[in-house]
Amino acid sequence: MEREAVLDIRDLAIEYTIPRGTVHAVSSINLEVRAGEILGLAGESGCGKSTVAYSIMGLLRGTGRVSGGTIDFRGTQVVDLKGEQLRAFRWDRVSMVLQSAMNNLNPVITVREQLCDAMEAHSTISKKESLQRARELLRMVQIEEERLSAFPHQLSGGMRQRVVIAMALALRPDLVIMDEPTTGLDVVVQYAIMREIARLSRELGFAILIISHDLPLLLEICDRLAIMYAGKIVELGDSRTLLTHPAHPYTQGLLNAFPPLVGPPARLEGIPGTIPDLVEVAPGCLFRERCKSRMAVCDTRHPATTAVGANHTVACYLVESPANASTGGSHGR
Amino acid sequence: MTWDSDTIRRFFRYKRTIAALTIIAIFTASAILAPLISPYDPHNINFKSFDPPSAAHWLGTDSYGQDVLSQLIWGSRISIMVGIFAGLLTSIVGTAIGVISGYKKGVLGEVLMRVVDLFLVIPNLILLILLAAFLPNLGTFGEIIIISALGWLWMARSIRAQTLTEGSRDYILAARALGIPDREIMFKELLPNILPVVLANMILVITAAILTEASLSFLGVAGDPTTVSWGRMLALAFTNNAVIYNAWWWTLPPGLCIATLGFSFILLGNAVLDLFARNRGGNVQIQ
Amino acid sequence: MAGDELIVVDSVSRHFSNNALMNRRELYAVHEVSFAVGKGERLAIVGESGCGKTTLARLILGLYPPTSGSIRVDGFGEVHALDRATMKLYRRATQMIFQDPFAALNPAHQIGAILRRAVRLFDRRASLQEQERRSVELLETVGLMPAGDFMSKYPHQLSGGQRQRIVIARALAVRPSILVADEPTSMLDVSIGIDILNLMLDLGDREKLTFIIVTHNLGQARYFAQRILVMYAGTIVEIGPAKVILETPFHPYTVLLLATTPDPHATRPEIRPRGEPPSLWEPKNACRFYDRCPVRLDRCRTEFPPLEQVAPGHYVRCFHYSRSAAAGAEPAIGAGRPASPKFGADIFQ
Repeated sequence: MEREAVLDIRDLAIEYTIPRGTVHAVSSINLEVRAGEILGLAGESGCGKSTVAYSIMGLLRGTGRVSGGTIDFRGTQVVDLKGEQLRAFRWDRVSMVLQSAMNNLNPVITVREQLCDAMEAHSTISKKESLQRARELLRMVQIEEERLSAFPHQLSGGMRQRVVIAMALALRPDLVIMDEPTTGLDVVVQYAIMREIARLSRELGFAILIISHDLPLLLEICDRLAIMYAGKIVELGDSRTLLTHPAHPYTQGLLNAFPPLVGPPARLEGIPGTIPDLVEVAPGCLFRERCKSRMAVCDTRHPATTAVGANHTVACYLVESPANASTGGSHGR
Repeated sequence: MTWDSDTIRRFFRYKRTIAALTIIAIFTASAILAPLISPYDPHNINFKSFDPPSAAHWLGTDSYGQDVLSQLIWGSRISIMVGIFAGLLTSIVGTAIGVISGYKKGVLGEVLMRVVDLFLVIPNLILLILLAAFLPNLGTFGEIIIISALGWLWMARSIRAQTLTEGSRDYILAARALGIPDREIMFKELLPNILPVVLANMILVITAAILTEASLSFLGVAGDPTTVSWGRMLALAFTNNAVIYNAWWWTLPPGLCIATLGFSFILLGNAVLDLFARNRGGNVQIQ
Repeated sequence: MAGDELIVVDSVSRHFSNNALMNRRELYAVHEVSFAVGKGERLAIVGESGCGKTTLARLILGLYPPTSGSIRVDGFGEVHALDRATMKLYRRATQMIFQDPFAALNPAHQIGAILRRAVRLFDRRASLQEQERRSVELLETVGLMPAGDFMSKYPHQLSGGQRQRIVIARALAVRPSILVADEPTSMLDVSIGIDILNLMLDLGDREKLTFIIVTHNLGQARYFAQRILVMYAGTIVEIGPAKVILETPFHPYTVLLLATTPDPHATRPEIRPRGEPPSLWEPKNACRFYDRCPVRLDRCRTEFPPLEQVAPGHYVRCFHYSRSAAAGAEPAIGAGRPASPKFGADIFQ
C-alpha cells in the first residue's frame, strides 16, 4: 500500500562557493517523502542534511545554489519558484521548524501575535479567524490558551518549541520539515514533544521530514530513515530494517556509537577520521577512508544505490548489484 | 584571535587600510621631513600679508605674512606627536587598569565605573580646560599629560567590559584550574584575545587626542604658544578676521588636515575591528 | 575518611543570591548533597539541565566554596579551608575536561605553547627540551600522531575531536589524580565522541585516575561509569552501581529518565510525562519531584525525604523506600523491592 509521494527529490546536487573553490555539499540525492509518513534524515555534522532541508524551502543562503536535479512538491518544481510564488509556497504547502527556532522567536511580541502574524501573512484570513485558529493551534500542542498573551521569555524551552511547531502547522501544510527539533531540550521534554509531533502527524495527516544527528531518537520516531554522509545518501529504509539489518558500514558504525541502555556491557568503537574534502572530490566511495571493509573497488567510483531488500537501498560495494558490476563488482564477503 | 600571516595579509588588502595608511604615511612623512620640505621658515613674517595662493606661496600667506603651507607642514608635527603619544599613554594606562579591574573585579572595578560615570556627566572639553587652567603650562608635554589624564578613564571602562566577557570563557577557567598565576592569565592569556578591541580603541583614542589637541590649542589653553599647530592656525585665522578677508587658504587647510588625519585613523580602526570581528564571528563593540 | 575514599562530599549546599537590596532571593543550585568517590573510581553525575550537576562539579574542583557542608579530599583535607599554596596544588590535582573543546583552548596560542606551559607548571625547572619532549609524549598519549604536526597548529585549525584530545593532554600534563569531565562529548559528533570516551577509559586505567563525568545521557553514564549519581533540582535522588541503577531503578525520576532516553534496543511502554522541573528559588520543605510524581504520598508535599540505603551501595531519596514509612501505608513501589521489569515505567502510564 504505497502512499503517494508528497515530495520527490531526484538527483539533487547543491553547491556553494568558498575562496578555495566550489564545495559540492550535496550530490545525487534521491529521496521521496510520502503522504503522512515520518521520514528521518540522519547524519553527523557536514553531511549536508540541513542543506537539503533548506533547499526544499528555497532557503539556501549566500552562495548556496541547487546545481542539478529537481525538487518536486506535488507537481510544483520548487527550484523554479521565485519571489512571490516562492513566498506563497512556503508555509502554505511546506513549512519548516528551523534549528533553535525556539530561541529565535521575536522576544518583543506575544505568542498570539507571532501566530496570527504568520497566518495573516500567508493567507487572506481575517483577524478574528486567525485568533480563533491560534487558540486551536495552542490547544493542539497542549498549551493553555492563557499563554497567548505571554512573551517568549515567559515560557519554558519546551513550551517555546511547541509554539514554534504550532506556527509551522498554522496553515495546514502537507509537509513539515524539522531541523534538529530537540536540540537544547532535556530528554523528558524531548520525549513528550516528539510523541506529540507524531500524534499530530497521524491526526492531521501531514508528512514530516526530521533532520537530526540523534539516530536512536529517529529510529524510535520515524517510519523510514535516510542516512547521509558527505553529501550523499548511503542507506535508506524502514527504521526497523535499519536497526536490525544495517547494510552500510557507516550506518553500522553510527548505530554502534550510541551507548545503549541495555544489553551486555561491551566496548564500542567510533569511526575515526573526518569527512573527505568536498571541494576537490577524489574519485571513489566517499566513505572509504574511514571504512573497515574497504576494498580495491572502492577507490574507483562512488557506488551506485542498490536495493538490498524491500524498501531498503544502500550505496556500497559490499552489496552485489548489477549497477556496481560495471566497475568490477563487489567481491562478496 | 590568531595573528597568523593569513589574517595580517587580509588586513593589508582592505581598501580602507591602504587608504588610511597612505594618508597617515603622508602626514607622518611631512612631520618628519618638515625641515626639508617646508618651503619657508613658518615664522618668517617678511612676506606680504593675506596673499592668496600663488606660485611662490602655494597656500598663500596669513595676516602676519607667514607662509601657510610651511605652517601646515610644521604643524603636522604637533598633531601627530601629541595624537600618538597621548593615544599611547592613554591606551597603556587604560588597558592595564581595565584588564586588572575586569579580571579581579571587586571594589576597584566598581569605583572605576562610578568615577567614569561622574565624568560622563561633565562635558569633556570643560574638564580639560579646567585641568589646563589649574596646571602650570608645560607646553606640548603638558598637553599630552592633560589629554591622557582623562582619556584613560574611557579606555579602562571599555577594556574592562571586554575583559569581563572574555574572562568568563572556558579557556580562562582552564588556566585558573591549571594554577597559572593571575598576572600571567591577565596579560598572557586574556590580553592577546582582546587585543583587537584594544587596538581599535587605541586608534580612536589617537583620533580623539588629535582633535582634542586641536581644540586646546585653538582655545589657547594648553600647549606651547611658540610652536605651530593646526589648531593654533585656526585660532589665529579666526581672531585675525580671516573670514572677513575671505582668506579661505588660511582657514580651510588646517581644518581639512585635522579632519583627514582623524578620519584616516577611524578608517584604520574600522578595518581592525572588521578583521577581528569576522575572524571571531562575534560581536566586537567599542563602548 | 574510609580507606580508599578519595573524595567525601558531606551535606554540601551551594546557594546563589540575586544580590538585590530588596526582595533578596536565594537560588538553591545544589542542596544537601552527600556522597563519596573512591580512588580510581569512575562516577557519573546524571541529570537534566538545571539539576545542579555542573555546579557540583565546580564545587569539587574548588572553583568556589560551598555555602554549607564540606568537601574533603584525601591528602588535602577540607578543600575550602586550604591556604593559597595548597589550594594551588589541589587545583592542579583536579583537572577539568570541558564541554566545548574550542572554548577551552586559548585561540591565540599554538598547541605546542599550550602544552609546554602546562608542563612547565608542573615542573618549573624543566628545560625547553624537556618541555618539548613531554609535550610530544602527551600528544602521543592522547592519540594525536605524528605529534610534530600538531605542535605548531592553532586550535581553529583542528577538528572538534582533536581539540578535545588536546584538552585532555593539557589536563594530564600537570599529573592530576582527579579528572572532572563536564559533558565531554556533547559538542562532538557521536562517531568521534565514543573514541574520546574510550581514550578516557584507557587513561583512567593506565594512570590510575579518578573520574567524575557529568552527563545528561544515561547510556553514556552506563558505558563510562561504575557508579551513577542521579540529580534532580539540586538534590541527589538516587545513587548506586551503574548496573543496578539501569536495571532496577528505584526513584520515580530515575524511572522517568530511563523511560524517555532514546534507545531503540530498549523496549519500554509509552508513557506520558507531565510537569516541568521546579524552580530552584527557595524551594519549600518538600520532595522536589512532587509535582511530577505519579506515586506521590501526602507526606512528600510537606517533608524533604532523607537519602536512605536500599541495598549495599545503593541509596534513594524517596519516602517509598524510607524505613520510617507510616505503618500500613502501601507504597506504589514496594519498599525494598525493585521496580517491575519494564524499568518501572508503568507507574507513568
